[in-house]
Amino acid sequence: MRKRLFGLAVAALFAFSACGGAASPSPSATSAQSAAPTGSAEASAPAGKIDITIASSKYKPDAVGNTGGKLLFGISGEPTSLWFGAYDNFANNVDAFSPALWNLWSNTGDLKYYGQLATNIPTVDNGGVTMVGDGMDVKIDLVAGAQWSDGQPITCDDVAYMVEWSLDKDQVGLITGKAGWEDITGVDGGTGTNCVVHFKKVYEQYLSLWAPLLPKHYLQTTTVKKAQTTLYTHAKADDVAKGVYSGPYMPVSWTAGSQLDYKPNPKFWETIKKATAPFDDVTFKFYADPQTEIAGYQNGEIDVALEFNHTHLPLMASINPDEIQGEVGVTYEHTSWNFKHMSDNFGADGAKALITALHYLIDKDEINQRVLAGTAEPGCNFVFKDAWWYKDIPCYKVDPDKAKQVLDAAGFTAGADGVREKNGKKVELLACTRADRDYRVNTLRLIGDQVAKAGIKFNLDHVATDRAVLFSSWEGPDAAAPDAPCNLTRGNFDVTEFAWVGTPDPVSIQYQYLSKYDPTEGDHSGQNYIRIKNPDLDTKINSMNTTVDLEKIKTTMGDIEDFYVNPDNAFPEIALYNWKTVLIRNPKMHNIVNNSTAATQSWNIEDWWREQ
Amino acid sequence: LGKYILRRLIGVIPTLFFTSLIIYGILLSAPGGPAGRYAQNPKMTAAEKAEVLKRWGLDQPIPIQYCRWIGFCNPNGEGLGMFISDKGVPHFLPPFLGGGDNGLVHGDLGTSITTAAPVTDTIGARLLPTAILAGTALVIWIILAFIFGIIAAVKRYTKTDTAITISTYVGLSFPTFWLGLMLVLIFAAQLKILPASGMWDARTSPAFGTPAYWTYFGAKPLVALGDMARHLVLPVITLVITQVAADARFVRASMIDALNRDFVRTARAKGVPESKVRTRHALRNALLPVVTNVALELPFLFTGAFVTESIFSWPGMGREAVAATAEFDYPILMGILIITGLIVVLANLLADIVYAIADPRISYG
Repeated sequence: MRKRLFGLAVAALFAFSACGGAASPSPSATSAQSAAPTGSAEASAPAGKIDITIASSKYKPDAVGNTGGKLLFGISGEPTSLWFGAYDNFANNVDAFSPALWNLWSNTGDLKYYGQLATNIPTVDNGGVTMVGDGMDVKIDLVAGAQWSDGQPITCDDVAYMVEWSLDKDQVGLITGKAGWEDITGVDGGTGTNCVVHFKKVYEQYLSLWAPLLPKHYLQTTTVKKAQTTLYTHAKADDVAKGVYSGPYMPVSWTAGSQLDYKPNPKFWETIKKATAPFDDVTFKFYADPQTEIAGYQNGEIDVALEFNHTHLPLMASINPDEIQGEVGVTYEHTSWNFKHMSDNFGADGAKALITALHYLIDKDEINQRVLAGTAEPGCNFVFKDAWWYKDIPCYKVDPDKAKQVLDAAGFTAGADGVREKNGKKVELLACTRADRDYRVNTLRLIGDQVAKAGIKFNLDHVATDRAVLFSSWEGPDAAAPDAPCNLTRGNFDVTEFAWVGTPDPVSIQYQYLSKYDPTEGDHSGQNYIRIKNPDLDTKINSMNTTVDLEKIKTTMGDIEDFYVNPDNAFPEIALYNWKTVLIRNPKMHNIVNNSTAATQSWNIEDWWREQ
Repeated sequence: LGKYILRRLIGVIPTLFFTSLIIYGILLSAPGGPAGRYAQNPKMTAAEKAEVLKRWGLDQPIPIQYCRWIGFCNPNGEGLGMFISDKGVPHFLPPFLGGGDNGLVHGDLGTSITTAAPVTDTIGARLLPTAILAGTALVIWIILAFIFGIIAAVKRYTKTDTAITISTYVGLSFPTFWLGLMLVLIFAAQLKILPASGMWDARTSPAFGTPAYWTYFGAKPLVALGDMARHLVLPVITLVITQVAADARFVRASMIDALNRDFVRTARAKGVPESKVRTRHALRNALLPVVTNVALELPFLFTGAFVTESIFSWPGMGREAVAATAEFDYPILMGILIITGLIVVLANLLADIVYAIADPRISYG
């Protein structure tokens, strides 16, 4: 489905939505898990401290009741490589990658961390992270005795080599860049499994590194420069069988345009899971679009159909509701407002009043009912309710009268045509969104009607914009013309609608809201399209960037959420609703549990099993 | 004829050159590009993103990119030196003479930006599935076009002619994506009697083209063929319905033209039975332009049907082209388009030759 709700999954951040999730394995009953304290240190907070739990998921898989046979699962779309987390960040690739290669840590659907190849979730509270001068040491306990698919041991040497490999001068195209890696001064542990990573400064996102952990001995079979084109390739169908893997199922054949076939990775089941693989064969099938994927499921071609969202629910009307799993997830739809444009036209105070009024004018329930047939869950906070830093803040009420009062007080007066104006400029806002997302085009049209009641006019001439123009770079071969209407990077818009994908790491919001990530600044790669420049907000976000104190982060995020949600603060981003992440499954399948994070819905595939 | 063929074959070179030049220019000038996947990633610095572009060769002006793609320029050279190979001779020369090894003139279509696989491997893997689908559809629709066209011509201006004309035009008017989707929803989702997509049953058969598949095929050829036939039904129906109209109209017009010719009138005057007049006299003459037209449709065997292959997840050239377009995978697109161009040119040549063979009055001296 989705050509991509694409996510900057492993890269951490928040990503644009277009389709769908990402992947990671389960906190299930692996030996890694059971051996791990899995956050128990945080679970019972000392008196006076905020109770923060980042590792105790609600997920409890059923014991495998049957083994053997073939599992078929599908998506609409096609993965492109197994290099997810390294050289690419396509959401489709996660479903291909996650059965094959494990991270040190991953995330459950309720946004908790769990160990994959690591048995611990290192935090300050449980002693896994210790502060050393300006830096920090992070303890990583690998699964003792774990082996790669070729029988080589998984050791701290692999952990260390990933740092070296990522920072190599010939390394080109890592989607994580060098961020985090360049702060590491050394990794102790050698060929053992108890590693200590030394950071020269605090790197808050340390749990997003080693995703995945790659085998040193396999990477060393070629040069760093040639790694992407010679390892984990699928130029020929059976090339993938030459790779070295750590996950439950290893790719054995990739038929372009059709399917990816896996066999159980015996070393995983012997040394990591210590169990019998539930399936003898696994096939990941690629469909052209959601409708044919649903038809394929109805026809019995696949056991599990993945990567749908709330917009696809109407297509599932003829499917037994018991077979459909839909949960609200981390992806949230929102409108972004170009604060700089508004300030240039109406002054800073005028812009603030305008945005406050817009908060009160946008009726999200009406959007949900009229555009989305009631399939979404309207909200006003950008943080997913299961996130450990979520603050439950009541939403403000839609209030057109209050909006008009705010506009009147700020000096916006209605012209002869009913459109308000200030400083001789009419409040006519250029609305833009992707042309291939009908529901967004329709939403902006509806919002246009809602705000018109207060004398705000939407210019809908470019409401349906080519994706390549909307999100194109500032410069380079994929850049649109500097004055191209609706280019977000250049700021040629007033309002746009898209979705951000929340991550398990709150600090990733920095790329959206820090002043320095205004795309006009620096190397123009920032995602602060709304051009918010708030020194207080900057201070708060920066303070989280340099701490691993979860309590401090949660408190700070709570402040930011308060600031975001209260219309009087005129935050130039208005959350509309959270997406639902949806899948369909054969009723005989067990342990299919949604996950809207970058781990995607195949996150716990090692726990899946099917009744006879 | 031999000289004519040789002359035409030589003419293929400039034709392809200018075709590739135009296609390349248009592709690279379009908004967007593969770098877009990194554009919104603030974790990568501008320098890191520039390195990615450099690796793909997209940091160069379009003329230089084209020069490298076609193989006249050395990717390691600069200025005029780019026309010289690493061994100091003109780069366009073949490798065994010290020339370069990149680009079309050296048989290298490059590497996919998306998958890092050689373009030739990617295209090679897609050829057979497309040939199977397109070939099956082509044969069926041509047969049907002949049947419908001849019946319509013989019974022209009757209700039969009208019915055939209307029904074929209705088929032609169906948007391919809509028709394909409707067939899937009816026969796969509701009736559950035909597969929704793909080329084989992934539950019972190994993936087509893999060694395991050929082993399976060898052991159970009828089962494998039957399985493929089931998967062919819906995409072939889609293609036939949407394609048969044009050829049927062509056959009808050609047949009507032949039936009105003097030699047909003469044959009838001589008392030749009407069935023989139609088959021996009119049809044989009507075939001439039709055969030419069919020859011009042969490139379809390579290019496949973009929309149909995509809807039915048929792992052929059309699906690959659509995916490559979405990902701005220029090397794959150029590979498909230039080979398509070559086949179109050759198909034209073939059509001319067939025409000459079928009609001895034609001279290519």
